Amino acid sequence: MSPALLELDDVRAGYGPTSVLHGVSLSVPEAGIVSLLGANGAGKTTTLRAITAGVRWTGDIRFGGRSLRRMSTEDVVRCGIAHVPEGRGILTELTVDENLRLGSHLRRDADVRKDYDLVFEYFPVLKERRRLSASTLSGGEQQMLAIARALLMRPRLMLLDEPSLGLAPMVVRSIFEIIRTINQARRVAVLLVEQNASLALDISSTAFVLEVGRVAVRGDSAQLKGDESVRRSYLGY
Amino acid sequence: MQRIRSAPPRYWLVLVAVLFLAGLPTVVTSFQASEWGGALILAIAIMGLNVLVGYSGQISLGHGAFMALGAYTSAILVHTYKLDFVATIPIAGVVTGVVGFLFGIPALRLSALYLALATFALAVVTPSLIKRPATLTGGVQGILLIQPDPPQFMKDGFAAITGTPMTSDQWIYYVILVCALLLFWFAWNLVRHRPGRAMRAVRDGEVAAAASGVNVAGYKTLAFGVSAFYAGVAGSLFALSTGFISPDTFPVGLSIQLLVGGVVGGLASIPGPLLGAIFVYFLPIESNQWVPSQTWIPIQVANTVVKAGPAVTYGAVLILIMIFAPNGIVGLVNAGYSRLRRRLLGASDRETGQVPPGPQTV
Amino acid sequence: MQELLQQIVSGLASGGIFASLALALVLIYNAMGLVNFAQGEMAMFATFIAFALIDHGFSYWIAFPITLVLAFAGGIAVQRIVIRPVERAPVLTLVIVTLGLATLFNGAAGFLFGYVPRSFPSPFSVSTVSIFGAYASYQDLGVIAVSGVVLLLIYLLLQRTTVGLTMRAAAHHPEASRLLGVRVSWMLALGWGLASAVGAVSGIMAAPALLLEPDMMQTVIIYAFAAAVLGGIESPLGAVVGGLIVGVTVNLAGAYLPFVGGDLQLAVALAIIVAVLVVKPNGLFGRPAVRRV
Repeated sequence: MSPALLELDDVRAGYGPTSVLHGVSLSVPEAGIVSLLGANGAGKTTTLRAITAGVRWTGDIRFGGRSLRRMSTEDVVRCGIAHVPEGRGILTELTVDENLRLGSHLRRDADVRKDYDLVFEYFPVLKERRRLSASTLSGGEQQMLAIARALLMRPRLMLLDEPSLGLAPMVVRSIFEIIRTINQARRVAVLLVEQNASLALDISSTAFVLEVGRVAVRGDSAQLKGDESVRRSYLGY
Repeated sequence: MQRIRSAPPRYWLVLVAVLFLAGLPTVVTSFQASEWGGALILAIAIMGLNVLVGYSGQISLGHGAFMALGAYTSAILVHTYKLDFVATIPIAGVVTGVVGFLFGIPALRLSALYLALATFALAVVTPSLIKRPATLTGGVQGILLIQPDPPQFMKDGFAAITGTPMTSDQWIYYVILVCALLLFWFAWNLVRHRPGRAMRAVRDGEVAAAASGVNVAGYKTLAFGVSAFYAGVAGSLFALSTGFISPDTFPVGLSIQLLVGGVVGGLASIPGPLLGAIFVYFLPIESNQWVPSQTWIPIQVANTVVKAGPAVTYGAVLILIMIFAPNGIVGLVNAGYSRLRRRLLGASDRETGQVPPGPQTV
Repeated sequence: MQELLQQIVSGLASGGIFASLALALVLIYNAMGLVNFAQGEMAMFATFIAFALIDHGFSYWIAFPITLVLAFAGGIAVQRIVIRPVERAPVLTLVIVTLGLATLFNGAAGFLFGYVPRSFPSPFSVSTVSIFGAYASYQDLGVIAVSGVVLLLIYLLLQRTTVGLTMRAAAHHPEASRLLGVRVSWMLALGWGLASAVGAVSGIMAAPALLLEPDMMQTVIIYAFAAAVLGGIESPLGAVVGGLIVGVTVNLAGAYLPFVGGDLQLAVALAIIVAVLVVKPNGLFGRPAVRRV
């Protein structure tokens, strides 16, 4: 069995005296899509934040075999992890183009040009609005910008926190299409946190369900989708 | 008897301090008494600043301007209108307090940063503003005051204790001391009761305070007024004790000195201003005396150090205190005291002190 | 009319000096939400270093860039050593730390160089040239030119380079920038270095007229505050425009209003600050409510 790209090993994390994660273990295989599900407050966002050192954690988190302990956020990101947070993290003081450039600013390889072409192919609206302030984009467009920017980082792993939040169904559908394409064409692994469990299960191969800071259910996405009792108890539908 | 025995240790400290200060002129020279008077004056001004900064959370880098106002009010009343100088003290305080209160109204609209800027600019401009109405303020030449003699009964009383009649300087020292005691007592009451609590609520979170029904605007302007009152009294006492004021007596450095004193002593505390004032007042004097007395230091170096010394030390101390002890001397003492108490009274089995860096396991 | 032109040119020259220092203030404000009260003193200190270099035989145009480099390094050092430990502290603490720095630099300058005012050389002659019939001194024109070049370079750096982009990102959106791999802490240090260098330009340009001594920049910084507030404390462009406006206004006020003498020009600056804060608190180019993520 090939070693996983990302491994979380009994991770505990919290904010000050409040503990949120009580021992989460999960893994994401190379070029795989994994969804992380659960109710509000279960700890999904905290899990992603722990990976990019946004909260303090104990246990172990390994990326490409290498432990991320004691690394700062920017250093973790520089290892090849792109994190699109809840709220998208758009730099609204800057233009669309500047946001994109911040995605690619660390790269020295020759493919940057090609990636920009790809990004504009997926998201033509970004090309139109290049010079405008990022704050003029709608919610859906900002999500596209966030994903485009993450793409330009040429990461090995993308962490997506609630990409469907607040977006119209059509937009959501196209975004998920693009995520699937990126994953297949570029072999970018994805760890996807989603409230919309159905969408997430459709796109991912494996799923972990968090409940009150622990992994309550894990397994093959298709199987989980078919399992009525799991759906009722944990996924709310 | 029971109440005396169960009074917390700090009340004893206060008593000791009061006795120390009251008895001081009997054992030190007249000149040294006037130096301590100077420190007490600063303590009063710093106490006022403390009400504003420490308790109500508003910044002022311009309290020297309020001191100047109090000083000139008193000086003009004594010099031109021949009022008795003790009577001018409350007048100067009230005048300055009202001006401060009025100043507090537009200040409500300014965020912390802009308030700092505006008050800083005020402090810089103050000497120029004083020079202008030259007929009233004496312009660049300033105002010269004759220091009053102590009343006869004080002279005799003092002579009975120490053998020499009270000097002018000592009399002024006692006036200052009485004012300081009154004002410190007033401040202590202020912070203990509702106004203090209201101000602290405002300091810690205006929105929450307003939601709890606190009149935020009212208390913020009140804080300005009260702190200006204190500065005005301090300025008045300053004029009377030094006998001469001019525009150059109130430079920017004074306002910064007050803030330094407040911070070093410990903001949001009652003893803090006194400790800070002692630090701020005696540092330049000691460095002025100690360095030149060291014969191995060449005279030019000594002269420059004397001029530069306090500034460099102030600067370094300020920075270090903000990094390591943001609550000043009082904060350090309190922290040390509680740590000591815990150890002496036997801490419980649970670990004290450090909060674990990671999350707590359930 | 001619005299008016002369006053305006003079005002623009002072304005260039104010604009440079104001730009330094804005750079640091953008990086950390506070005004560096030590900016003037740091600029003065850098000017003393330039003086020392020139005294030791370096030509003006060699000492100038060397001083800028040293000021840059000094600014970074100050941020790393003094500011970083208190980065997350409340505004009041930071204000006091910068006040401490101001006192420190002032005292250090006095200690190292003494308090006797010195004359500082200028590469521009004081002779005048005639423009449209009015006389403008080469000194003033030189100051305008140098300030203009420096400000332009800063603009290009911030807007057209990747480094400038990451600096701006780190300043406005530190958390989001970290997630993009930006080393935010070093960007802040860079901001301080840059601000320090720009401030040094202000000091060097001001020194010939003001005479070099430790208290030299204390009035200049008030004008720079006024300029930054007028232009909008977050806007570099505002700092420049504000600086020029303040320079010209103060000069004209001093020349044409009888009760405003040399010393009350400062009060004009104070009046500007107050007026702006009352009428349009965000200044000419500022934006209300900036959310930092």
